[in-house]
Amino acid sequence: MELMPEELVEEILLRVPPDEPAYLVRVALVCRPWRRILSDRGFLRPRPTDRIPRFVRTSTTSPFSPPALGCDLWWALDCRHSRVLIHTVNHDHLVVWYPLTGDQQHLSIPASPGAHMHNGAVLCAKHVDGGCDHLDCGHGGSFVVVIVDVDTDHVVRASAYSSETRAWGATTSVHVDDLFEDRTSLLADAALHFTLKGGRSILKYDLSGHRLSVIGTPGDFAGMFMMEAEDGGLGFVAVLDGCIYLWTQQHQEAGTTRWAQHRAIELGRMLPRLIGFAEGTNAVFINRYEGVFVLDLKSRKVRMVGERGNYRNILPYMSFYTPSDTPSVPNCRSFW
Amino acid sequence: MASPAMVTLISSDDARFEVTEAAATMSQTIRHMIEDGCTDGGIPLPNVPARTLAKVLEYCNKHAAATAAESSAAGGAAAGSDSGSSSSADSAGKDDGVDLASFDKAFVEVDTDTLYDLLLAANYLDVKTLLDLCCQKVADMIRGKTPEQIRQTFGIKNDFSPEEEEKIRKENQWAFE
Repeated sequence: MELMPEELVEEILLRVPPDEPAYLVRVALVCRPWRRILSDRGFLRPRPTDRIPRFVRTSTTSPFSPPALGCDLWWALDCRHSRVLIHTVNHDHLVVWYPLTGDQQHLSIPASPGAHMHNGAVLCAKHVDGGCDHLDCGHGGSFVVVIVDVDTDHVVRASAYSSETRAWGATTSVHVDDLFEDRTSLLADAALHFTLKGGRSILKYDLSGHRLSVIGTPGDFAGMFMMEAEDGGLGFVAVLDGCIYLWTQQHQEAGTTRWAQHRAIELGRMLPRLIGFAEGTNAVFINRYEGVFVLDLKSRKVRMVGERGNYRNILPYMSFYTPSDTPSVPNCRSFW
Repeated sequence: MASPAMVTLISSDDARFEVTEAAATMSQTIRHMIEDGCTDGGIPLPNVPARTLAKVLEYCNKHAAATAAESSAAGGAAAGSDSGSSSSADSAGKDDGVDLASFDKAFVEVDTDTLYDLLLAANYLDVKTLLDLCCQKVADMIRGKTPEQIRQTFGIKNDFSPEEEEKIRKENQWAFE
């Protein structure tokens, strides 16, 4: 392999998971050419520059464009209730962005010694009490940001920011066996859920009790995506043998829970890869050789929404807006 | 049904392979040669030895046949074959998908020398899906290994001085725990 053209080494190293930095550090110590490829191309930065989010419109009426953040290295961690949570890597702070007006609110990340990986979520502050329909709350409404990080001892810490008090709350923690997956959170059952690597477990942050816990899944489901079950509870989808399966967590009378496997959708030939889900809908995103597709698990309809690409994760941004001067039904839905 | 168009490919060691045009044109390199009319007397592939070409063609034959089967299936309504409009995800044949996925998985269960030859050939012949498959296989073999294990697996010489290696390790101690 020493004589392998650099372009091929690069192709290979691109496929080593970028969300597990230890792999890339070890790869950089294999030989000088590999180290040069990794350092020249910015692989060792927290988020490689070639993975800067791309912005894809799926509605011709989509009125907004990517945010002006004043930096070239940023990453969208989450989007919900018309807001997008962005981590600007250069400046190492968080931005809550409201795409319809371009408004940005910048937050510092709370100091967390030893933390080497984090994830976060944003939501409307009134969501837990049920006092908001989220149609227009992104425009000046109060919000909550939850950030979770993990240290080398596998201790996860979580802290919540309130836009009303403009302060981070106390930290809560829990031990996990697996690190975070590079995925967006799922809001279900008044809790935020984060996927942990290997798909063996899910990290749960209880929004009202401010507690962290770990929920086991019924097996190893690497590549799975969480999604809301029909009853509003926790669920996830995973591809096994070319089929998509859905599991949901069911609460039993004794206070225990069990996982139930629900339906399978055959996807046909070619290896499909799940790359996202749209919270509050039945839609999952699939990356295939031909392009990026959105599949509605209920109607089983598929629609192409983007060109083929080496995407790992899609954040669907959905919002309602009224085109200028036309008092019509909200009609904007954009994915990126 | 008319017999399919055939082309002859000639490996670097002068072995001749007769394959369908559909299989051969999974290679963009060969597709361009055919489009340019360079097919008289066979298409020479001076960078690919017979052993590797046979293996690449095994892949192309399998995938071209699966593509043909899919497009002749009812209306060609496999998921995603038509952009923009809706179609049912159920209509694609499950057997084909499972079959092809397990074929791909088994196809790259080879020794590292063969995998290396396949990578170079897939790159030269520009067979995108095969290149993806091989690169992913190598990347999967890399994950979780120490630098020394990676070097051993792929026969790579360590050209760092002991001092340099020690320095990099110290700077990134967390990655080696």
